[in-house]
Amino acid sequence: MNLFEILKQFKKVEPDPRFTDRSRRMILAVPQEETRGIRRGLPAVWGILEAGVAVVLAGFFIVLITGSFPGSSYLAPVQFSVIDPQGLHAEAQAIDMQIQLANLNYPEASTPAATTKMSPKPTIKNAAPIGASSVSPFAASTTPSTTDTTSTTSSTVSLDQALEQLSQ
Amino acid sequence: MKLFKTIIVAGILGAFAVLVSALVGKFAVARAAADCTLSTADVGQIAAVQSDSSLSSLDEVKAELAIRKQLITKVITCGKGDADALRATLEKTPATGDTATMKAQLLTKFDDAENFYDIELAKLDGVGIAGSQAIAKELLAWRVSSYIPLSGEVNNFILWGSNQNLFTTATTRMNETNRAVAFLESVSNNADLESALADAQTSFANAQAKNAEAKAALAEFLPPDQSLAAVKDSLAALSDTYQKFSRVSDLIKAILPQ
Repeated sequence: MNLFEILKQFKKVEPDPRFTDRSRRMILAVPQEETRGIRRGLPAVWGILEAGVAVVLAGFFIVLITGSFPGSSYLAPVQFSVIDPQGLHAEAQAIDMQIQLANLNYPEASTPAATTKMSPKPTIKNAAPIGASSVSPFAASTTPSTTDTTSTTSSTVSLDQALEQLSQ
Repeated sequence: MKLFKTIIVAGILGAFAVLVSALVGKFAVARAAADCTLSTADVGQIAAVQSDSSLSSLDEVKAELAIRKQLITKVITCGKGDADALRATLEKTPATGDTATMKAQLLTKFDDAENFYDIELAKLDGVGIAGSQAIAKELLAWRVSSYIPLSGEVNNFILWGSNQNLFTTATTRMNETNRAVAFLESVSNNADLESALADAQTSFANAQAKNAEAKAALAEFLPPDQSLAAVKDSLAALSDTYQKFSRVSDLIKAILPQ
């Protein structure tokens, strides 16, 4: 057999049919890559959206649990403030202070009347030291003069006591 | 260089001027405060003049009149100062809706008070001892019948206004407590918790009703003693509500997992 005959026989060489089938299946099993267009971009966008939604939901639930946004009071079933003893105590204490302030609202009512040489006893019910007769305890910060004169001494007379003396 | 020196000198002079004006203002305030202290000695000057045998009758009358006018002027000045301070506090008090109307009415009454003081001060010129006595009597009668009640009304209005924040806070707490108890009750019934919540709700409704009564008393310009009593009642009721809140809070804490 000469060389030419051998080369002619190469033309008749074929792959094994089973190998051909297996190779075809393997090739077809590999996903086809889209080389261009929307089909390639959609999964990427979807992935970003998924990640974004996950982050937003996680943040929402964290905020909800910690009660850190205004609407949380309408969503969280049990607010921490309901069982917070310090907050409750502080609010109750504010009310007690306001009650004390209400009791101080008429300091003149309990002020002992000053005595004078000219008249034995003042008869004015709401006699108050001068400068303090009508000033609210709330006004004390704006009127420094009133705080100096609210403490009655034996020589201090109220506006109304002075007027009573002056009318005689 | 010359310009730089001029700027430095001007700056030092300016700072000095500011310092001096601040000190003058401070002393003026202190003097004004001291001026509004009236003592038995001040009023006793009249008796001293009356008993001074060294004075002639005419000199005695002149001296007594001068003292009386000085004292009445001082009373009027200090009375106006009191009114101004109270008015300023009232103006700062927040008010909306019908409470704004009440506030405006009270502020108008201060205008009337200022006018009355000015009229009486003007009358003082040219009067004798009897005239000054009459002015003192008018001032006293007006203060007792008008100004002292007005100051009481204003103080009560300011007090009531400052209470509203407490009621707003309590309303929020009541709502949160209601929601918490409703949630816990949906999981498991608790008779003690239900009862404690009902007590808190009743107490808070009572406090709100008394707060509304106090507002009505202020709006009707009832005597200050009555409106003050109503305000105090509302605060006492609110204090009771917080005791009830405390009981509910303790029960909720006991139910929740530690």
